[in-house]
Amino acid sequence: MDQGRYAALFLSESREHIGACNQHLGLLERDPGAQEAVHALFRAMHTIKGMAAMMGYAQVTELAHRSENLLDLVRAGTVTADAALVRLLTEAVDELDRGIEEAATGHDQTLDFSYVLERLDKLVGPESAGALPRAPGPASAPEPAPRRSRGDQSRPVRVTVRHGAMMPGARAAMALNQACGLGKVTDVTPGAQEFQQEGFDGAFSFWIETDRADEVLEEAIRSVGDIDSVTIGDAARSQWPASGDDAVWRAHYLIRVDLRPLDALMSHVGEPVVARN
Amino acid sequence: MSHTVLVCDDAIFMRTMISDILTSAGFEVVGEAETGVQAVEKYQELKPDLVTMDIVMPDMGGIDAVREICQGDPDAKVLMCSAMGQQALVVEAIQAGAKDFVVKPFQPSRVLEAVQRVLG
Repeated sequence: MDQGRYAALFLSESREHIGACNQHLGLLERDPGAQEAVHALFRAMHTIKGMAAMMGYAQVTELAHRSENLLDLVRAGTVTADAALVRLLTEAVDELDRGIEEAATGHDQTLDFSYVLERLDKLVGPESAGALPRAPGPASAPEPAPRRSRGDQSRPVRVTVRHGAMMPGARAAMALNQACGLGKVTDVTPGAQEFQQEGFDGAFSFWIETDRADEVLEEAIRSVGDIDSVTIGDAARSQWPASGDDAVWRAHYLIRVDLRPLDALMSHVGEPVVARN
Repeated sequence: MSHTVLVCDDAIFMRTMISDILTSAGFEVVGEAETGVQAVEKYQELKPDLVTMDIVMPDMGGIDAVREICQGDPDAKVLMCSAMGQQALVVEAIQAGAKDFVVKPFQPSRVLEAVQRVLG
């Protein structure tokens, strides 16, 4: 990659965004409810973060990222854009302004934003300080499994995304899409909404009703990349996650039988057996 | 014939970098868009083989753009270019029809791997 050319592009575009940030901060100072200014500030920080990350400017990336986190909370209405917040963001933008110039001349590693970072984290709160933008909502519980007999073409499938893969939830969603293209998928455990959680570990199970061979199914799932294992059929049963265990397995492996005809059958069979003896 | 690509990102820096990666691998970048609205319009106009899509853009975000593009063309091949910490949004994009994703900062090889997967 042509680093010099990209560094020049990074600098000119970041300067434009810093200029826009100052304008939007002015608007926000006059009107704390100026939502469009908050959105524009968020986008500018996000763009600077992305560009700095691509250039390998870790310090600038971190400051832009933490500022973006704070702006995300303002955007969500969790934090109010009062005068103190606008002052802090102005300080962060000033530091970024200095930072992009230093980083573009090869001095990113010597930058120290700890003073402003601490104050940004204080406003964001300790729990969210390291969290990244747009924290997803709580995961939904798996839906009750539909009752189904064992004689159909349903099979349990267990998939694990490679440990250390980027965004395992997104990879899981891709794998699930592949499965959905081959048959009727039900009982996704944990629920597909769980895939959005940053803490999702990449292991999930589901049932699929399909006439395709196991090999075809496995190949389709693995084609999304970063898949560690795909287990299909009874072998997946032993690996079924504890969460939702009862509901799902009861639905697939247990059937309800009326005992009265069984009793009658025993009675009919029992009489000839007794008579023969 | 080389595959055609539409590159969507609000940053010239990112569009340049992605275009360079793809062009050097033999792809033809036939258009660029800097907002979600432009992305939808240019997709309909250019019908590219592949779209690279940023998530955070003005006017219309990348997810809404993917949704519109895929509603009009369910076979559209869209690769999301996301930043760290955007897993919830990437999952949403995949559910909306995106085929794969890369996470910034990315290596050119990761982009090309994802592109190959998307194009099959």
